[in-house]
Amino acid sequence: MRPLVASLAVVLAGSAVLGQATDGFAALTTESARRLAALTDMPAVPAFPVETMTGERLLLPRHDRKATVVEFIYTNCPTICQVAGAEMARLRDRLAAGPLAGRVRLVSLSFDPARDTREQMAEYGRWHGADGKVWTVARPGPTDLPALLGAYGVTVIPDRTGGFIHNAALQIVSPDGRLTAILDMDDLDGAEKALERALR
Amino acid sequence: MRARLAWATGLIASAALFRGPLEASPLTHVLVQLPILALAGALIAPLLRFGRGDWNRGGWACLLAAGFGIAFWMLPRSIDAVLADMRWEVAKFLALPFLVGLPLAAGYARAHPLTRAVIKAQTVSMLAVMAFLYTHAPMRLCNAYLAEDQYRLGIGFLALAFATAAAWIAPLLFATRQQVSGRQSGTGASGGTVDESKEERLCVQSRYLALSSQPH
Repeated sequence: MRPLVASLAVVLAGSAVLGQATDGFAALTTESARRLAALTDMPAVPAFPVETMTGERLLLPRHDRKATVVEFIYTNCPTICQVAGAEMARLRDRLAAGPLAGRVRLVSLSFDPARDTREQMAEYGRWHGADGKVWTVARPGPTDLPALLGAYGVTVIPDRTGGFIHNAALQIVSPDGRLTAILDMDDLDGAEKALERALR
Repeated sequence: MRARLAWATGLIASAALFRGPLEASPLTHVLVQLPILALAGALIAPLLRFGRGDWNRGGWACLLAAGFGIAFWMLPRSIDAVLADMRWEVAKFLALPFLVGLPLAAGYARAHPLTRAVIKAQTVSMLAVMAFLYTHAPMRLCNAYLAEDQYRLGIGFLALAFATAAAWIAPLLFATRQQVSGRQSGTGASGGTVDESKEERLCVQSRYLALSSQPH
């Protein structure tokens, strides 16, 4: 009987550890874990000072009455960020036409603050139609960058052609500064629903 | 005994020393560094009394523990965590030898030949499944690695699946030829019958089981 008891103990302990490590077998990857944590834990995001494309200096998240959509970019990005910029523009137009008009702020946040100068950010903003008010482009201070990426759960890696790859997504931050949802860049329906929830 | 200990220490030390280059690509991280660490644990298994008790009869408890250990370190989350957090890295260097390699060896040594055959079949099929997963996943599974490197890892799994299948089938082919030639020279002109070929097949099978039950 003892071998059977030992095996059962191993199965129980092993299942418990695996369950713990995967949030109840719900998240096998870091990205799905990050998205699940945002939905269930809604962690508070520390405020970081950023400089916007218009030269304004402010704290992000802002803790006012608006919800914030944060996406991470770098303006030298040839491919994916250009698509992301187009998706952000679509989201802005969609929100402006809906019930959430005036209640949401969009921020494209650079993770390449050394190269993304204010002029670069303004150029990127002009190209994609960011007006600097509803939708602005901003960069953190270089020393804040690792902590800021850590707070949002973003991993940036070099892509071997001089650019970067990162887990691109729409981060939804509630008016009280909590990360309440993380969605695919093109999931505009999901973003709208998540914003409604964040503003409730 | 000394040699085993020296090899195990050397393997763990080299996995630590070449941490940078090994972990730069998921291919070498998952298919070189992790197996090296597990191998170190397997090498010291015969030196320890671990797994000799009645609780490990048939090797089941140890094999199951190793299975859970492998599943845990196959999670893309675990691989990402190792690269982001030094405590995870330390845990990996302890867990792979002592919670994967050691129980795998301590379990396999006492496993029935049929259990071993099932493990081998399962290993090849799981490697193939991992190959499919990593070559076909529509998104990046590790935030710390590029999509093209993820694809390479998938190709690595595929190569390993073929290599292990070949390595485990080769002795069977070898045994067949030897058995066949032995019978031809031994039986003379008795004439080939159905019974004889059946007997030959049994010979081959028992030889294969004997081979599989040799300690590795």
